[in-house]
Amino acid sequence: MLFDFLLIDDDPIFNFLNEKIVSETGFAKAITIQVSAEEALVYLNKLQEKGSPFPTILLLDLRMPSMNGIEFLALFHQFPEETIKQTHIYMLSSSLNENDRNKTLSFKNVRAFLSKPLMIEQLEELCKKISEEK
Amino acid sequence: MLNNRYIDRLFPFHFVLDKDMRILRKGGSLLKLLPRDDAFSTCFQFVKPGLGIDYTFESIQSFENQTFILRIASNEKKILLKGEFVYHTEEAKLVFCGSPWLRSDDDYTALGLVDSDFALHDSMLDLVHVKKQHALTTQDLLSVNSKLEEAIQKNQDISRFPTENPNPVARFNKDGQLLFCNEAFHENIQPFLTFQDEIQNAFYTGQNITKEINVDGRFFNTMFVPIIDRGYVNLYCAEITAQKLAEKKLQSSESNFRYIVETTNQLIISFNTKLEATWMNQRFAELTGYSSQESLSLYDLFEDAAFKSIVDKLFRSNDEKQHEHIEGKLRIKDGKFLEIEGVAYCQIKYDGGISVDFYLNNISDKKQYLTELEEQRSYYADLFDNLPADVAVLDSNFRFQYLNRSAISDEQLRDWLIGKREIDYFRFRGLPLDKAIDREARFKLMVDEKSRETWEDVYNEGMPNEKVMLRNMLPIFDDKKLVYILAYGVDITQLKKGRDLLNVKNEELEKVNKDLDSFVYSASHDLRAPLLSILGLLDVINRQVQTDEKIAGYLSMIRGVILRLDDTIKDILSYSKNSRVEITSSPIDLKAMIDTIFQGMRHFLPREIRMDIAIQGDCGLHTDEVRIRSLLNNLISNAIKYSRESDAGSWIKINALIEPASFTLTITDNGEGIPADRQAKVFDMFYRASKNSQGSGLGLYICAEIIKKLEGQISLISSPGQGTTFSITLPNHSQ
Repeated sequence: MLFDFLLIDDDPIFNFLNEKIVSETGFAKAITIQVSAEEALVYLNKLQEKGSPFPTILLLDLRMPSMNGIEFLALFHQFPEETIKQTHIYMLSSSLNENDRNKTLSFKNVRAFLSKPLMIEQLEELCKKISEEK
Repeated sequence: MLNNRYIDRLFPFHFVLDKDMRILRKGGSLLKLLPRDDAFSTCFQFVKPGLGIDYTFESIQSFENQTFILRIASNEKKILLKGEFVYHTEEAKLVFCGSPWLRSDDDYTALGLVDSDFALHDSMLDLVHVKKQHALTTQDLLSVNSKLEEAIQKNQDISRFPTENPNPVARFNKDGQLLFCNEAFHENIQPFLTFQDEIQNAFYTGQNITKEINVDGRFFNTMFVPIIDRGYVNLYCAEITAQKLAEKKLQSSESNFRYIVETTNQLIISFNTKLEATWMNQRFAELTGYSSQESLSLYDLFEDAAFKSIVDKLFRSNDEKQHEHIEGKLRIKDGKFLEIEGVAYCQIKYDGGISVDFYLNNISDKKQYLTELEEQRSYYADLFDNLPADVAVLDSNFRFQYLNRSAISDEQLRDWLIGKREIDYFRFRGLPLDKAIDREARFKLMVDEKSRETWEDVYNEGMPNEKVMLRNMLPIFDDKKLVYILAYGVDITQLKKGRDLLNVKNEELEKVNKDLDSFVYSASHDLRAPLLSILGLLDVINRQVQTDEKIAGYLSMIRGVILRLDDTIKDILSYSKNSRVEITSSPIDLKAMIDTIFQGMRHFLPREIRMDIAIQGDCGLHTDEVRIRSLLNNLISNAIKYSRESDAGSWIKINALIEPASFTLTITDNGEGIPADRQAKVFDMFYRASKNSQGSGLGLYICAEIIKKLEGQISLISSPGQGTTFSITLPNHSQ
């Protein structure tokens, strides 16, 4: 089973690495990269307008200039329930802050808080799990 | 002619009348009765024969041989003469021959006549004498008789005296035999007593004997009177029961009075008009050391002239109702003084004498007490005045009862304020009254709620001389009733300034802390992000580029260095958090936490390591989740880092015992172990015990800091080449 991936991070190296890892897992149908939360929201809005399905797996960085990951999560969850229900969000951060961790995990669609760097084995495991659920 | 001499001798009371009824001649005895020459008509009245007519010479001449009775009119005694008129033919004159007609001898002696005035033949005199004799005898008999009757009567009356006497009377013969007694004796004494001894005693001594006897509850005074010549003894008794009882009563009341006077705590002394002490009670003597025998004057005892004028005034009043309050010093024998207080009375005695009596109380102790009280009062007043705090006492109507000097420095104003309310003060100072009214409303509320009030008064707010007073109002109740309110104020200007400063500093500190937190957070993130990018890139290189062994080795070294740097950043972050973040407490699933930590390290395991977890105790564990995770993270990663190859395989054993108030954890590995000489230093900052250590030297230091923060204990047992056991005891906040 293949998934649509959305990667949101302001750091181009992580985006490059993560895109590589995602594609190496072989679970990616499509990989979309957004370099800021605002742009990601614009992108998601367009999907909604077109009636296109939202990505299945969203890898979200926490600390970004301007709008941060938590602010993004708050706005994301304002999309209709029906629209976002298939989206699995994984936080991807270099933060060791418990507060950040707990705050993000309280959002409905956030599945886990992963430390950078993303390891290919970790991602493969997640994708397998999601496939089995479906 | 008849010789005149003869006629006079025969008829000494004769007289001769002429034809004109003039008395020519009188007999010598008649002359005694009628000494003046008067006409017949003025001298005599006819008693017999009483014809109711005026007799003339001729009419008398016609009554020849007729007895005449004449009354001598001119004589006061109205003497009667009895006789006859004889006519003398030759001289034609009438001669009255007769003599006084008498009834007793008193008659003629009273007339001044004597026997010789009568003719010897005159039988009248005999008649008078016989009559007189007779009268005398009768008179005597009558007199004796009446005397006799009188005596009998008297005797009878006298004899009634003893019998009617309500007091017992008796007569005994000398042998004690009762000869006579009255009713009173018979009834009251005879049945009860005999008096043999007294009777004989009285009789043989010849003396009256008196004795008081008690007969059946009645008292009598008795007197035995011996009548020696008659051979008997009279006994006279007089009942004195009433007097006796009165006397007893008097005695008892007197003894009561005496008792009161002698036992009273009052000092009593009596002065006569010469101001000499005439009497003192025992208490007076005891307390002063004087005695009743001493001659003391008022001046000796009371120096104050006021006493003398009081006593003088009372004597002058001569009125028992008068009394005066006295107070002052009484000089006692040893020259010291007693403070006394009391009343002076004017006392008029039964014998008419007058005294002034002092009834005094010794108030020396009281005075002493009052003096001490006053000293104490002034001590506390001083204390309060010197207190660096405002003190005021308000009564239940919120009126000032007391103010200390600190509260109101001006003495006059302070005195003026006593008894006034705060609103009066506000009015006086021209301050807005609504503040005072508001304050009294708060007092009332405070009293109703029985609470205490505290507030701050700020004066000259915002000015350089700003003053802040902390006011405390403390209502004091006695059995639910408000007695007074204690109010005190402390100048907290400096304190307040200090506190304000502290608040500012604290705020600053909080801001710094927050900034630091945010700095550490950002710094750690910003430091780590590039490291993690490098790690990711190294991973890509590893997977995609075929390199020779040498380059692969370099890459691995880069990776190791980067990991160490990342660990160091994590440690610093962890340390920073532990020291600044408050302890929280939440339920913890210890097993799950250990599993998660171990799983997270799974990718970095140098070799196969077995993890055994054994948790005992069914009560929940509550503690600080973040710190416990950090602690376990460090210890488990150490156990992994310093594991070693072993035939039995590498292992980590974690045992936990959870108890309600505490829990213990042991983490045992079969790794390198720590040499004994380094064991004590492993918890030091930046100390690395192992040559193989790739860490920051902060790991165990952070563990120790966390244990300290959580008020627990950590220890280790280790032997090189065998393994290490860390033991931890921490409080469990499950309750």
